[in-house]
Amino acid sequence: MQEYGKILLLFTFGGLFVASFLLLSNFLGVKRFTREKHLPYECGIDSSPNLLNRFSVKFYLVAILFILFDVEVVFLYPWAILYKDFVLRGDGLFMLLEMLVFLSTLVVGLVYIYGKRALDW
Amino acid sequence: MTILFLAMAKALAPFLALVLSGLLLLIVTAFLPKEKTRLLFYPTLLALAGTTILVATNWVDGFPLEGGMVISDRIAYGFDLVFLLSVFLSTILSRETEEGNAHGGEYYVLTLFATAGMVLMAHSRDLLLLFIALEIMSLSAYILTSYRQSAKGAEAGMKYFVMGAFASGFLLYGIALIYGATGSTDFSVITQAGAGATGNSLWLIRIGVALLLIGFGFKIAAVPFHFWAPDVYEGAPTPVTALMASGVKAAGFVALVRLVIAFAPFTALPWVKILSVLAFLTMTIGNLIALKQTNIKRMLAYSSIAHAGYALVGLAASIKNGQIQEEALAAVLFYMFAYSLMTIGAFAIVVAMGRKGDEVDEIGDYAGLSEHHPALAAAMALFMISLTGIPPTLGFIGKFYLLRAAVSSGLIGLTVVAVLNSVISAFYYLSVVMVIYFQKEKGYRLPQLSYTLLFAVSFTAMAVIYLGLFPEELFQVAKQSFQAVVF
Repeated sequence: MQEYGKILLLFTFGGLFVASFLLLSNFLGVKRFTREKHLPYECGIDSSPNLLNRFSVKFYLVAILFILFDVEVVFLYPWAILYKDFVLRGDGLFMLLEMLVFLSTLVVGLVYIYGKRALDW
Repeated sequence: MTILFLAMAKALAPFLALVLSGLLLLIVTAFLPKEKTRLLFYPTLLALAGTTILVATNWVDGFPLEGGMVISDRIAYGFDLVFLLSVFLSTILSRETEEGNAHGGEYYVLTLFATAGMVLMAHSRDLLLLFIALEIMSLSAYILTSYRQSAKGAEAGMKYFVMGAFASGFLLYGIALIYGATGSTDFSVITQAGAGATGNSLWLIRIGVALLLIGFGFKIAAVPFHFWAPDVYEGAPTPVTALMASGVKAAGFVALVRLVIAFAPFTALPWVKILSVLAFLTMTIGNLIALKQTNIKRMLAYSSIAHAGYALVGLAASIKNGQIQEEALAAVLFYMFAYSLMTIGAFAIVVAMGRKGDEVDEIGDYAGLSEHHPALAAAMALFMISLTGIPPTLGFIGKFYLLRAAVSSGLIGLTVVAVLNSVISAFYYLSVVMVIYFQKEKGYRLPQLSYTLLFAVSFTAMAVIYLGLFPEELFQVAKQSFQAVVF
């Protein structure tokens, strides 16, 4: 249980740190409001007037698919970094096959969304 | 190396068969014209039948292979048979509703993936794998629940998803605590490390196990974690409801059985008391609320809660002085099998009562069924009698084995409560029979029945009677599944 005490200490100091700086900047900071500061910020460009503009639902679909594949590709990074160790240990072929299984499952998903015409713009 | 690899492949063949056929059908359904997707019904049944054969051969060979994160013992294969039976029958039912026909082949793909998740749950020897398997099953079940594009289906799917995510939170928290105390998520390492645990780390394990119990309590809809069940069961398409009441519930129970086997011997928690209270509440509240239902799917949902309570009696009986009682666990497995058959039979009649696309859910609509379709009426009466637990049906035998185990573990009070609950449940089960046989017909015309549906009804009905008369062999199978239980 001793190890958990350190984590608790970290949390406590982290919380105190954040809280004290927020409070300090609230008291010490200069508040001068201009029109520009109250506008919604959009990368420095003037934001377009209407919030209720319609946009194509394709965005949603493509975004979902992107996130799906993006997240799964993240699994490649730890595998790639550790791959050399696996080869040295003699597990190289096995781990390569494992990753191929994983990737081919992803490819099945890609084929599926292609067949469902989710990628047609 | 290669021999071990082949053994692993054989042990995991059921799971691999399900996943591969699911992936294959996923590709096929993407390129199949929409009006042809109903043809996927046949390869799905073929895949399920093939997997059943693989499971059965593995059960007969009975090699307790352990390696990595999976365990392939007879407990797993025994429960696999329950899953496959219920998925097979519910897929047959889906043929009669629009889910299996109009909305593309994803229905079948998701069914196969859900089954793969259940099978993996039975085979996992690692808490993390158990969690992933549960999510594979649950995510498929969420989509299947809202498969019909209606307000009710969407509500059911949403509720199921939110409650499922909530339950997953409990599970993960529990797993994290157990990992923190023992440094592993592997059951066998946990049991070794746990046996020597004292003080704070033992308490961490205890709290973790309690959280796991809550998480799986949601999955089997045990009181007080049952609130989602009636709405979800009502809103889901009837075949999916049948699957949730049988396969998904059995998957929750296999996880609970593994938990009891792994944790009961060393945690020194009041397991019997906890499980007894859970069983008592689940039986009693499920049955009492079922009395007031007028919608047959809601009634069957509360009945499903109550039956989870009976099975929990068996789980409570499985621990006696810190020792695992194999016979009680075998009774739980047997009961899951028995309950799956009866409840899918009842849901088959509910499907039969509805035309394609519109369901007839009110119990009052069953009035006069005995006049224009005496065979269906007789089958429904049989399933209701079996759910009540009246001999000579399978429901009676299942309860008999459970209560015999409870008595031999000294849980006399709980046994009396279970019997009283059966009496309460007779009121609402038999009132359906009353409506069918003694109320005047309302003029509802039953649609033409198809051969697949007739097969489902007659198969379950015959199984309920036959196994009710000659249960011994099946119980031997359940008993042998639990021989030499180890982790």
